[in-house]
Amino acid sequence: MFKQTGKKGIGMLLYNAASVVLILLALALFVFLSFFAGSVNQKLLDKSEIEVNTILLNYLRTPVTVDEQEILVSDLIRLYVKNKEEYKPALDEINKKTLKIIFKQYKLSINGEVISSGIAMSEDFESGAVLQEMDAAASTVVETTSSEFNLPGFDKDIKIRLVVE
Amino acid sequence: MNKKGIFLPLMAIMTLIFSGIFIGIFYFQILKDRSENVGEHASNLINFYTQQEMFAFSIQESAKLAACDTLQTTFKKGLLKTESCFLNTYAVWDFKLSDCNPDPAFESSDFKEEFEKKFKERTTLVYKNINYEFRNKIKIKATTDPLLLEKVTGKLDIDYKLNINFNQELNVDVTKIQGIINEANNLNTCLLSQSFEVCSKSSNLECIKSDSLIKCNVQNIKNPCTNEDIAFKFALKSNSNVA
Repeated sequence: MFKQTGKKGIGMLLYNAASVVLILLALALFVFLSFFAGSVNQKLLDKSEIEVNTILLNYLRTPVTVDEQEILVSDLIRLYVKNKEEYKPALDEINKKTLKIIFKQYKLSINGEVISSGIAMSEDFESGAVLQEMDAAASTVVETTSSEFNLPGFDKDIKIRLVVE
Repeated sequence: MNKKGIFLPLMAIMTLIFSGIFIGIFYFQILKDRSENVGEHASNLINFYTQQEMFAFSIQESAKLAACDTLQTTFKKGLLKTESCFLNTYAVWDFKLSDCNPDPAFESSDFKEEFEKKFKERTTLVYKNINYEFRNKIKIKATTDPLLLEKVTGKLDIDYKLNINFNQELNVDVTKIQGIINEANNLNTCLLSQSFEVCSKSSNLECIKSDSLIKCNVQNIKNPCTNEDIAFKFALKSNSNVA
């Protein structure tokens, strides 16, 4: 490699300088390449859709007493579709006790018609005594998560949609 | 060359080697941009089962509606299998003829066949073993073998299977219906020896004598799905020989 001469000091200096430059170049290459390095973007999966599906399902399976008979909310919805005037109070009542307590903002529609919506501001969830509906705010519900279910009806399927923020 | 002279070039060469490996990794694209969700498989599984649970609930509801429709039809037919016993829109019960004999155990009605027909109209699922129970309430139960609904292949092979069973109980008082049949049988027996006027006093049935028939209308049997009264009427043959 390097020839040992009388000017040993200068030779060693050049020799070391070349090595240092080489190392610095390699390190610079590392730094340069690191900017283009692949990255793994990990994020937590949004499970809210799963939760809304589950809540809608459990809402439909909620037992409710109507006309002294214990039926499910799904049965009540079928009856409501058949006779809206007669069964609206019962459906409103069950919505107050369920959806309005669970969600801050939500919109429940049956065959495209919104039947329940609003912000539940409950001060006493245990007794459910204080529940105020803010319809104005409810009309501005932003669609973030929704769940749909085609409930078998007497004649045709009933489309139920729950949208929550 | 002394030891000090070897160190730096050696380090430079090693650095170059490592740089080469690093570049090689890039070249073969081992480190690529990728995004992954934490718990993606678990979430997919939960989501899948939630959706399938909704599907199973839909089947359960279809079974309920099919059962209610069947109940409506069964009562319309006067709890008989054939329409050969009909006269003036009334099912004429005859406790001696098998075709016109209403069975308290629902066996002689075509409830089962009718239910399966109506259920097939509402769902594509095929159930081979459907169990019926007509005690106190009408119970219909069916199970399936695990159905392979989706197969995901990849790093992990996942078979999504589900049992889509249903267990439906209709809120219909079967003992009340059986009581009506027994009452009708007693009235029929009474009519063989006594007049309608006499027999009707000891019967709880609301019947009238019209032409050659004793026509009975039963109230307060509701369709559990629609909550409406079911039109249930039948007739008995009047024994004209008895005064």
